[in-house]
Order: sequence, then C-alpha cells, then structure tokens
Amino acid sequence: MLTKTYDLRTDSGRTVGVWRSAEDPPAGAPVVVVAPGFGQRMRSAGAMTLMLTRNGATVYRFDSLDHVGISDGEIHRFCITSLYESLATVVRDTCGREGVDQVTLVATSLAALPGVQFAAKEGRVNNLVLVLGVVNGRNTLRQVLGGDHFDDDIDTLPGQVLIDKHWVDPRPIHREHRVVDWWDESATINALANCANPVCNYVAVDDDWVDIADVRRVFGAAGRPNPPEIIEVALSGHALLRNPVALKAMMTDVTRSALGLAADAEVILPSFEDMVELRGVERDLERAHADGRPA
Amino acid sequence: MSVDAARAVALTGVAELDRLIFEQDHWWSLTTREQADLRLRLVAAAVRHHLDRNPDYQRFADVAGFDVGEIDDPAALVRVPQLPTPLFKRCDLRSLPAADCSLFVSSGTSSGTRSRVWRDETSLYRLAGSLRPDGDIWGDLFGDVDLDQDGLTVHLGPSRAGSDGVWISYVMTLIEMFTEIRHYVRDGVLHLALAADDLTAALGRGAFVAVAGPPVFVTELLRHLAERDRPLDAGKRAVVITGGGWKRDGATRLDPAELRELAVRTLGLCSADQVRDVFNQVELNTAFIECEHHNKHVPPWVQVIVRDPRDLSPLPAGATGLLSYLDPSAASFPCFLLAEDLGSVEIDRCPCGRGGTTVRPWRRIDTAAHHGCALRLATSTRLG
Repeated sequence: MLTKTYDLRTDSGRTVGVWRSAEDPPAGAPVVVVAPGFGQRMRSAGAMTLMLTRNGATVYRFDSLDHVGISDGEIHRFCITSLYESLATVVRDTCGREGVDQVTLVATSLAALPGVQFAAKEGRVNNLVLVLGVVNGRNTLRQVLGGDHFDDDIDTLPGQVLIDKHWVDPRPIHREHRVVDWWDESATINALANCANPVCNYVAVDDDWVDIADVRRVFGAAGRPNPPEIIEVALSGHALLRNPVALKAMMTDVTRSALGLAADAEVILPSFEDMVELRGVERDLERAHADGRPA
Repeated sequence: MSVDAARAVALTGVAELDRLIFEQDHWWSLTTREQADLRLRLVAAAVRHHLDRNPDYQRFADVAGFDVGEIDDPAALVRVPQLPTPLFKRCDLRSLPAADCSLFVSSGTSSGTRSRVWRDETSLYRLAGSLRPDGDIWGDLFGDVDLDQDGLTVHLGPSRAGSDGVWISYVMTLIEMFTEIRHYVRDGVLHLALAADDLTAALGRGAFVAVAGPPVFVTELLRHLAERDRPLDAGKRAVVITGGGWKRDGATRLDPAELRELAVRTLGLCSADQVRDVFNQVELNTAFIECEHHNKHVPPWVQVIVRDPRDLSPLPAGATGLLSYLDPSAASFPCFLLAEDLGSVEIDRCPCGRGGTTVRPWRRIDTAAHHGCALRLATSTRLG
C-alpha cells in the first residue's frame, strides 16, 4: 500500500493532515474517505484502509481538528463542528484531486453525526457507511458522562470531563449545541430524510455508546424510500474497534458495503503480519509527516 | 416506524472468548466460580473444535477413551486429553489447513529437535491480546500515557523477521501492535551501547520507555547502564518486561529479585512493581504476566492443572508437580498440553486481590537437555 501525505487548509485557515492510500487501483475504482471516531487518529484506520485498498479502492484519511493526531488543535477542545469542518474540507478536496463528483464516506462512532449532516448538505457522498455510528449524540454523551448537561448553565460546567480516556472541555460542545442541533436525534433524522444516498450502520448489539434501539428508531423515522440498513454485530460492544478478530469479520462486510460489492463477493484479507507491520510503518509516517512541515 | 436489522455479521470462532480478550480490561473481576464456568464453556467448545478437525488429536483422545460428553462440570476438565509437549517435536498437530497458518518453532534441545507449532491469524491475535497494555494486570503502570503515541519499547532481541524461530523473541515483537519498538539484536549481535543511548534519549524527551527482552540481556543492559557516569531518573516513565528462561544454576545464575533491584537502582524506577516477568512457551497460546506482587496470573480462559509426575493424577493447589494447560485460544492446534515444567499453582491467594489462578513455573524436568528460548538466544548472540 502506497500512502502519500499532505496538508489541507480549511476555510478558517487551520491545517488538516491527510493521507491518500492506494495499491495500483483500476480506472474508475471507488474513492473512499474514512472519518475517524472520537479518540482515533487517521492511522487508527490503518487496518480498514489496508483492506479497502487491497480490494481496489483509493482511500483518504485525516486527523480531525481539535482532536488527537497531527492536525491543528487538541482533543481538549473537541466538538462536532471541528469534525465537520475537517471532513468537509477533505471530501471537497478529494473530489477535485480524484476528478469525481462523489465519494463513499466511512464514518466511525461519533464521526457519524457530522457524516450524516455533510451527506445531506452537500451532494458529494454517494454511499454512507457508518461503523458503530452514533445517531443520537445526546444519548451517547449522557451514557458517557452519566448525565445530560446540555440544559445546564454553561458557567456551572466543569473545566474538563473524561470521555473515553481523554480529558475534554465540555463548554465548546455546549456552545455548539446552541448553534447547531447535531447532537440531537431529530437532526440525524432530518439529515437522513434529506439525503438520497444509501446509508448503512454496523451496530454492535451490546454497544454502550450506541443503543441499537436508537438506531432503529432514528432510521425508521427518516421515512426514506430506501430505508437505511442496520447490520448487527453480535456479542460485541463499542470496544469492538479493538477486537481484531471481530473487527476483521465486520471489516470484510464493511469492505463489501463501501465498495458496492455483492454480499457474497470474495474480499482480499491482509495477513496478520501485514497488519502488525503497518502499525510500525504508519507510526513512522505520522512522525515524518509532522516533522516535514515548515517550522 | 422502526427499522430492524436485515442482516448480521457472522462472527467466526468463539466470539465470547474474543470479546473477553480484547474488549474487557478487568479479566480477574470475575469470581473464581465464574472463571471456572467460563473455562468449562470455552474449553469444551475448543475440544469439540479440535476433535472435529484434527484426526491426530481425535486418535489420541480415542486411545485415552475420552468422551467429550464427560465435560459437563469444571471439575471434569482434568479428563481432557493433554498432549505431551515433546509430541510437537515429532508431528504436526494441526487443526486447520497449512495454507491458513504460519509455522513457529521453539528453541532446540541438545538433540537438535524443535517444537513445531502451527498458528492461524486468530490464534496469533489472541496471543497478542493476552499482552494488551490496557489489561488490568498492568495496574496503573502506564498511567495516562498514550503508549501508541508516546511510548518506545527497547527490545533486546531481534526483529520478527530476524527472530529465527526463537519464540519468545517473536512474542516480544508483538508489542509493536501497541507501541513503537526498536530491536537491538542484529546479525547475532546485541548492541548494548545503542540500546542504552536510545533509552536515555527517549527518557530525556519525556517518552515512556519499556525495556523488554530475555532476563540475561536485560541484566547485561542494566549492568552496562550502571557503568555509565550519569544515573537515570526514569521515575514512573519506564517499565522492564522480561520473558524467557532464567539461568538458575552456576556462577552466572540470575535471580528475579536481584534483577528487579538492579533495574530500580539503575533506571531510577519508583518501585520494583515496574519490573514484570512474562511466562510463555511456544506450545502455549496465552502469556501469563506478573502482577505487582510478582505472581503470574493465569487469564480466566486458561485452565492450569498440576499433575503428579508419577501417574499424572491432578494435584491440589500448592503442590509441586508437572504443569499442564487447557488453552482454548488456539484455533489451529489443540493447545491442551502436558508441559515439561515443574511448578505449582495457587487459587485466590495473591495479595493483589485478583481472583483465580496464579502459577509458579519452577524448572524444566531435564534442564541439561532443554534450555528454553531465552537461553538459546543468549548462546547464539554476542555482545556489541
């Protein structure tokens, strides 16, 4: 897999680190953009990228603004707006680079919220694949924080809260909720109703971040002629992302969905050695990318 | 209106085991009884898997008069046929096609024979999973450190490609899945000065450093560092992880407590808790890691049975005998082993509070003939 690194500037002048990976893709091969979930870097999606490129796709990944990784801002200032800004910048640029009008978007976990909004707002997504995709951000935050603080006075909020091993200032999230309603399930329902592209969501049945009942309700309420599809992953939770055995099974199916392959199409699987080696290679690549920027 | 799942991802193998290994951090929060019930389910499923797919194991079980239907209670697990590990030197005990597996070999013996163990990817992932740094066996050793971003492992062994069949070296390289790793045995030479320089530089820039390798090489590095003028002050930003055989006889014998004391003094560690030994052997698919009290905890999916060397009858906790294992995490070979180590187990006796089994491997039955991976590495590597 050959990976090229570069940086993009967002409309607000901030830097987003991007990687383009491919393995000699055939003409007309699908172009996939992978949006990382909360606490994930672009290299967290290395295994997914390797599977997609082995099967013919050209894959773009990025580190989100105000997140972990090498883009501007720290995860302490995390909010969905920053994720959206990063995602929109990368997809628009990718369409220009690849000479395509639309891409397949694979969004993991919390990235599903801006992913759905972007697909509805701009016609640049022809296939939206959610992996453990959050559809009711408010419920997810309630689950993670043990309470709903959106209606609290912002001055009463603590300076930081712990979300999945990362300290996050809750105030930017609180402020953005006053401007956009993306954390609410009604926003996801409206967005799904306003985009025509296929949507599917791989949901772990015991996910403590994503209640499968929420997904069923939100997907049903969208009232689309082509209803979004739910694919259940049994015996797993949100930590499925670190379960390589289950992940491989799921990723085989995700690859078919992302590349528009038949349900029984054969998928080329990278080896264990490939996967382990990739971890080291991409750690070095990330360092080289960051070190190669002008001071 | 609600949308129901139209399809589901089929998880192959034992999904319950994978969820435990990879998705749960607190393996020992299960009560001893829960652990026993879990093992019964997992081992019984694994026995059926191997009986169905491995004619050699099936014949072995037939000769023993074994009926899998007997395994209906945790106490009945002692009846599962266990393969003496020397069998792995004589035949390929494979339950999956060779095309789906990689072959791993052990250290040699004086007679030149090696164990040959076939592992598929699922088995390798599970083995690596038993070393996960976010598992609770490590306690708060890594604190809030993001090892993937800010960690460096100084590996006193060869890379995977250069491991030349030395199993414990291969196992150590799996740390690469969790943090950056650099290897300091190249072309049969252990580069102590380079390892010491890199370790010192990494600590200097605030990285978290793990020193990993066979006890004999770790000792060499610590002595090398001790001879340098400037003492190190790693504090909580370093751990030492040893794996492989301990030289227990002769003038150069290694004592774990002495190594820990040397590591604390030389690296400037806060405590001996930061020095941990890992037990594994090529035929076993799970690593046993020491807790802060330096007891090796057996993950709840593995059953350890100590047997009387004279008649192989099971012995009670605390008694010394032959160590044997039932490890359901291997899909590609029956990891039901009668090992060549003498040792003992304790149940719910560790002061760390983790429930279940701790194991104390003591020594090989025939230490003259079989030196173990780490000692083989030591005899084939020069200091540089």
